[in-house]
Amino acid sequence: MAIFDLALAISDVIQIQRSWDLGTCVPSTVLGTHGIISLNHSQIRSLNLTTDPFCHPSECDIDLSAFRQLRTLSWKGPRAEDLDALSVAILGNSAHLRKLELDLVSWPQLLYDLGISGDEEDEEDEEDEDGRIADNYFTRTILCLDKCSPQPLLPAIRVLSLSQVPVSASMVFAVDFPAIESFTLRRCPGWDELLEHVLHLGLSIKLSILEIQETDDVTHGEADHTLAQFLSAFEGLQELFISHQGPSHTLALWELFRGRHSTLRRFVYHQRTIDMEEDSPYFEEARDLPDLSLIEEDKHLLRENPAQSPLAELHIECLGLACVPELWVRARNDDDKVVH
Amino acid sequence: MIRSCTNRIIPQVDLLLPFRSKRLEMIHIRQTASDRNHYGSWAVHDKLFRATTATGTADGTHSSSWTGSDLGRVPRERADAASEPACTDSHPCSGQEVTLRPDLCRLAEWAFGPRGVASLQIIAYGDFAYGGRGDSQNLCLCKGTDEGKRFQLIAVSDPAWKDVQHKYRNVLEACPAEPLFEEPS
Repeated sequence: MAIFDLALAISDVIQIQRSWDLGTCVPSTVLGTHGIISLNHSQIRSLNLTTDPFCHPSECDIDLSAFRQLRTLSWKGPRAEDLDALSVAILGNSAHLRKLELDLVSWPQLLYDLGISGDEEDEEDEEDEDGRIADNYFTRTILCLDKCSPQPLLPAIRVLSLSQVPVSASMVFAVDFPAIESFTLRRCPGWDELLEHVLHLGLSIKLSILEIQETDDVTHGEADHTLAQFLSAFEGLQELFISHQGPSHTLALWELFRGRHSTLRRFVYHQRTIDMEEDSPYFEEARDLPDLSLIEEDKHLLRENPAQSPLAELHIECLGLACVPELWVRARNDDDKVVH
Repeated sequence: MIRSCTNRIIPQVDLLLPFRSKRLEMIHIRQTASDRNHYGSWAVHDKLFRATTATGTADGTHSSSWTGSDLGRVPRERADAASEPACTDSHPCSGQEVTLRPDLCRLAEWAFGPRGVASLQIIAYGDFAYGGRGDSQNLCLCKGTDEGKRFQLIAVSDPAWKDVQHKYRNVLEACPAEPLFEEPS
């Protein structure tokens, strides 16, 4: 009874806000097959869920099959048991879904929960079935993409944000890539393969917003070339957020913005690395790289002729950099010297 | 030259200089929360090793003996930082005194000063992933409203803090280094 009352109260909230961003378990009485939202508010156009991925399966069944008018679907934290419901929600709204945001929180953990081996050694073996299933889980099992699927499967998508979701080259058949305005890939295995395939097919790219975040455990530098090629293949970005493995040649990447992305207004750049100090208590753990890994030539340029910085000709309004304060402006004993 | 814990020389360069006559509104000094816990904050001195304090003043006198950074040293090795002059202000959460590291202090004084970045409204520091998760070590600095003070901390309880988080949300929350949920231990 108490849960039912809670569900009623939450129902009112959701009717207005259409979101469950509590990060808790969702009782079956709310979003189960006979849940109050499913029964009474199935016409909502926007559904935002942040649910606890560690909830016990039997406590909170989620069934989104009633929702057939969704333009926005955001789900952060689905459990392995929820992936069928996720699939049904996406496919049930495939024709008109404009924004899809998924955060699977930990793909390796989900693979484990699904009983699929995600070992790297297995993935390298072409014959390994589990590896193939893991790599293509999103496209084949969640989106059910096959040769008979309509192409694109999700023609109305304009905003696509995926976190910890394995992506592959076949993703290009799931969406109308030239129509996408905002594209976010956070820690998505296979992201570089997907971008390479977009380039390979020569698809038109009209992104205004791009966010790419590598996982911490990849070998640094592997995907830098792909990222650079992708950024070179189009123009007109307004917002760009990058976090990747360092050390990486920062200014070489920033140089790509000249002319091509002079429209850039919001820019975030973050390099991560692995602590390789053997006597560090955090040996082999990921950490920030605080100096932008600037090479000597670039330090000289930024010190002696900062107006030649690749960012100097842009009109950036918001700038986020993972670097210590002394890189933003040089320390001098006399304030006035800074400006001469 | 300054050496970090990974034995990388920290260069001193002038990334912000080209923005003096542009339209830069906000900068975010990103430091992942776990990095701050492991290696120390780039922005704030630990309480135990608080510097001889001096409020950031318009004439910048506090920074005249600035010597460098103690980036990345573990806290027990940061006692030497106590000899560096720094700025103090009210702690954005508790109202307790907080000591900004000289590097951040100098950056804020210059950027919000008459020869700095005229368009700059906000310097944010820290890890704002997933709404900041109530992280009390994040900071927001804005132009000073009191005469003689070039900048001031925005308190978490100040509506201006929420305004900053809302207005610049996708910049502050981009590329979160840590997952939305940690597995229960």
